[in-house]
Amino acid sequence: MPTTTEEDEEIARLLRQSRAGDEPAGRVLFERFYRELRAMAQQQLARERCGHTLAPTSLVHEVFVRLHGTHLAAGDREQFLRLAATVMRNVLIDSARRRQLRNRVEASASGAGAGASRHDPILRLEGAMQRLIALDAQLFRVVELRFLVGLDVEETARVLGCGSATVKRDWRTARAFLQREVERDER
Amino acid sequence: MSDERGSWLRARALFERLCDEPAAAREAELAVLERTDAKAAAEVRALLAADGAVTTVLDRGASELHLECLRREGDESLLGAVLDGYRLEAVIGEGGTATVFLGVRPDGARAALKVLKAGLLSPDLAERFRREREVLCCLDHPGLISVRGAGETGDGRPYLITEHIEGLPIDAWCREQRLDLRARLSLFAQVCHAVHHAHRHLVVHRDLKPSNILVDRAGQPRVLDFGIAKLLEPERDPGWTSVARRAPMTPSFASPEQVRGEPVTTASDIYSLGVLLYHLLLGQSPYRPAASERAALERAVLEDAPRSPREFGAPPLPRDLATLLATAMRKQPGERYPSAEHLADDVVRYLERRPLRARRQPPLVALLGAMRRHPFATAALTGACCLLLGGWLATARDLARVRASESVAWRAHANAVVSTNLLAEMLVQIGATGTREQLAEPLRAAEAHVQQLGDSPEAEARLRLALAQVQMRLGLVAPARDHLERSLALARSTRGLSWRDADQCLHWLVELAIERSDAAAIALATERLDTRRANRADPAPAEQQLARARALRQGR
Repeated sequence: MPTTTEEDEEIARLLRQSRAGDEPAGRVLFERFYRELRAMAQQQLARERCGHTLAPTSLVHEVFVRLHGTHLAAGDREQFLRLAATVMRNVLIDSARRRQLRNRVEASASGAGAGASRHDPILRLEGAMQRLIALDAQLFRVVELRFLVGLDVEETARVLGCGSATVKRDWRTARAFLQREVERDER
Repeated sequence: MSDERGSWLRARALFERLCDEPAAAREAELAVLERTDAKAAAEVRALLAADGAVTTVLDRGASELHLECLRREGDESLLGAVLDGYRLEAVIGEGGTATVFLGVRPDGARAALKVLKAGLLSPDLAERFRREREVLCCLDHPGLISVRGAGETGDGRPYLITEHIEGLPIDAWCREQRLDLRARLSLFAQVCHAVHHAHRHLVVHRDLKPSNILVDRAGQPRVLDFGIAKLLEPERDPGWTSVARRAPMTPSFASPEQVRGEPVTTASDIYSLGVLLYHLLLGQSPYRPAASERAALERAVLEDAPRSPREFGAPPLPRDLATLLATAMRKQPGERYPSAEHLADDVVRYLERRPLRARRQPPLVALLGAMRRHPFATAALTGACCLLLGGWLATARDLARVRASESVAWRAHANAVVSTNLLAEMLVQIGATGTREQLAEPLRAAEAHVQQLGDSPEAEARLRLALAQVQMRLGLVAPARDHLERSLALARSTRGLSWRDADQCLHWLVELAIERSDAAAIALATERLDTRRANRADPAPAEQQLARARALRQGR
């Protein structure tokens, strides 16, 4: 039995404010999501350590449920998910950067010198996503929902208000684009 | 910008139109486009290739990717830690389930430590780790990586210590040393022998490729990474199979049955060895480079014949070598060489300019093939095959009796030895799967055969060892022990027997003795240790067994 709590309303209010251009509201949301996402990831790892290796459901989806996103009106919901996708992107980049930094420290400590700065696959993917945003923002929306948020084809179609054939085709094209960009950087 | 966007949208439209077309239709359209706009054609081609590629990043989803990063951070926190006296200095490898560290002891000794990834600890995986250790411990061959120990990290993750091999992947080694054809072939034969050793212990590697075969500074090839190796076992535990399915198979070296997701036998490794040889001899993949898309490559593995060297402008291979390659790489597992040793043998025959077996004995190869293709379609079939073989062996023996001439008798005797070795090998192979009921008939046939080998102690010892291996797997401990003891007695009393056979008998006898808490384990393990020392083999496996046997007595 869904009951609307103060928290739901707060999220909905913040979403509306940020949509209306209220930057502090957007920042509050971002930080909130970021915190939740990282907490979810830690919980998942803790579960794994206890031997529960069930396939993780999408982390973003867990945040979505936890913050009562399911109660949101359709428009708020899409915004919520896209914001969550952005947060996910940032979480990924942060951990990739952390790793690069650590590698560099280790390389200089052990005198290994260069070689440690080999390009990180996640950072390569981030570069590819930025190019896709610049070239084809519509295609990127599918990447946000399918890849970053982890929705399936039907859910993505529902959020975007289009048919699932379109989502399938767009995802396939976007995936090919990103894959090619990532490979190109590899060389 | 708008220019760039425009050309992207055109490429996108063409990609979406062509991506489901057959390759020929795509090619035709792209060829037309190429004449007017080469850049656009190249772009669409790249997209189509990326469409078929396996992506390690995109297909897993961002959540899984992030979790993976966090797990890796957990692993890297192990750097600097000390396990079993080895300080973890660097990450030297990373697989799906484990991270491999370089460990250095204060005295400078180096080792590779393979640690289960953080967050992946589950009873299944821990069990698999334990098994890999057992697999490697019972393997002892200069061409295989050897195990130094095992343990658990502070947070309970199992790890495996193996020797650290500094070397080059075999293909790079061949290039760097500018090895000629003959040198490449003999190097390859060494790899076959190592793989055969693993097969004789019921271990299939399943992922043979250049990066898993390093050549050390002494020029000795070493097969490593038994991470997805499989002990041939009947019960298919779900944990194992799911992990195996997730494990990244290398499609360009995988056999058709692996691509199809069918059960894997030693024949799959023979196929991969064939692909490896193709690479070493021709420096190319046996399938077209356009097959870099996973789907296309898999189709090629299933359907296409390996390319003739003419296709990429290389001189043709000598006919015998082409036959040899073709036999190793047959699509039907049963039509390949029956064992890696047979493959090695033909390589040596080629080097010595003797006729190959691949061509000379098609009926036998086909028979073995039929057995492997339908290992247990019916127990009757297997039984029939064994009877057939038994009959064939009997003929060889009768021949020996009828012809009194000593030289002929000797040849027949040699024949019996060779045939029995083959039978022993097959028994181990068909005995690697199947239930007691299914194996009853082959075992009976082999039991009958072994009774008649009184004048060929070498053959008898071999076959008894094979019988024992299959029986142990089936839990028939008492008859297995009997065979092992007799086999060992033969080994002790007969000169010229391979010490490795005696070593193997001793290994199993010690295990059986430990299992029933028999103090005889100590004497047997000591004998094994002496045997290994006498033959300059690594004493470690025997020492470990001896320690376990001693612990047994102290524990009581």
